[in-house]
Amino acid sequence: MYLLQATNFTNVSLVLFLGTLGMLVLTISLILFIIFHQRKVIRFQMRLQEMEQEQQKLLIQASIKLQEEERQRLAADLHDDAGPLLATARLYLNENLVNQDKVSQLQAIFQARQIIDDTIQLVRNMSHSLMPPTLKNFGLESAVNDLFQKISGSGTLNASSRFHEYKERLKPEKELNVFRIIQELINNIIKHSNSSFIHLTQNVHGDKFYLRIHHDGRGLIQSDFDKLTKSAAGLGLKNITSRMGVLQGTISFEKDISQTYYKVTMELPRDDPYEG
Amino acid sequence: MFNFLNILVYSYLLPFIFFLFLKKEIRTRREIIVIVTYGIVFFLLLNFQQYFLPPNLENYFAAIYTFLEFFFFSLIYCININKKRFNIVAIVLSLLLISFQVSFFLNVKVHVVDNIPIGIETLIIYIYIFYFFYVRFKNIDDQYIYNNYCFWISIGIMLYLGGSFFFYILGSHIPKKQIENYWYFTYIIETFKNVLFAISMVVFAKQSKHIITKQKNIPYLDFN
Repeated sequence: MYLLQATNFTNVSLVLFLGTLGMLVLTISLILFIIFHQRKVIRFQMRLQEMEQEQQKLLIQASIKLQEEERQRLAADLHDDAGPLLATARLYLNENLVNQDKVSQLQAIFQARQIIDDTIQLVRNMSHSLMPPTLKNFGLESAVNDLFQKISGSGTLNASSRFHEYKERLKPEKELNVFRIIQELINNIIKHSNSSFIHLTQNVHGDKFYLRIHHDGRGLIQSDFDKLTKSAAGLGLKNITSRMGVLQGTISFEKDISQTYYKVTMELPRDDPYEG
Repeated sequence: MFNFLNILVYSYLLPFIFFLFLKKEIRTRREIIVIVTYGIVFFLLLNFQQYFLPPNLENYFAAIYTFLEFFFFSLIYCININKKRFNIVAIVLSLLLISFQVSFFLNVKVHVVDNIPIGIETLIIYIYIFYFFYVRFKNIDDQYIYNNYCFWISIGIMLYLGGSFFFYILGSHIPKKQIENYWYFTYIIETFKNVLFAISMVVFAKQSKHIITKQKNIPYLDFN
């Protein structure tokens, strides 16, 4: 206004011109800044994505490593436990058995039978650890309930689960992956959290399937989980991420608003009923 | 000048015309309804001003024009930002602007246009636009910002409000005849804004093909 009064409106066109030009230049500069800044940010995002892909590779490697370890464990179990048992049974059932008296024969057969029973039990345990029969025959809900009952049975931890809506079972391979994730999470909670209770709950919404584990011990939040999966340690967590990738789901770690519980939430796509 | 005004008036129909062409792609989304309604309302308002408005009511008309413009721009950002807190702030600011307009109208003699309410409107809408960009930057996806239809609307509004800011601010301090010589520039810039609004509808049509609406409604999972 001062400028206008001083010039007595003679330079009004100049003031209007300069003022408007200034505003337009400012606006255009701002728009250009926004565009270029965003391009820079998106380029940075793409680099991050590349890094994430690298991370994915690491996860796959970790998963292969775990598989190899599992095979080695199986080989060791078969070699160290089943092998000697069967060899002992073979000793009892040697050719000289027919030359022995009846009592010794019966004793040898009885011993051999005992050993074979033990071997059967051993093979059964190994098979169960590979694919829990409850999971295969009765589904995720029963397998989880079974697992939680066993945990509660120990008397040190109160474990409970509740499935709100699980009428339609997930595909078997999906169920197995979910169950393995739950097992890994529960193992971690038992090993590291020092919690007094674990509660698992399930529900569905739209085309999503949700599972949440609550516990009252020491837990992880998302940033801890991200950090651990990126570090050399945390093979189990890497395995969880890799399984989640297969399931095309997400997993999140957080602390409850009340700051009392830690919760782990899994979100998975439900099976398409028309898919084979 | 008359030609520029006529072009401006008809340019308000551009969003509606583009809507008719792109109806299949964009359907009747509320974002689009607001832009089309804005165009039609202002087309009718300007026609009314040109042919039916009695000269003694021009001041009332200017106040209504300013408020409606503010209302539509605010509505566009409320829909695009889609945050409850922002919507509340926008409603409160709209109420404050109305009260200020009423008191301005009662206490100040309007010369060419209601320059102070327009100045305030410009500032508030600029704040909305900055906030919109801030929100966009915070939620980074792999979409370039010019692939978002609201970016084109924001450019249009920024150029329009920025380009005509000095005209409105100086409007009351310069003789009417003198400022009228340059007033056509505001028509040009306002027309340009309407063209950008129409472009935004094309962008919206493209954008709507790629929009993936992720509904993150977690159901009841105990302890919630």
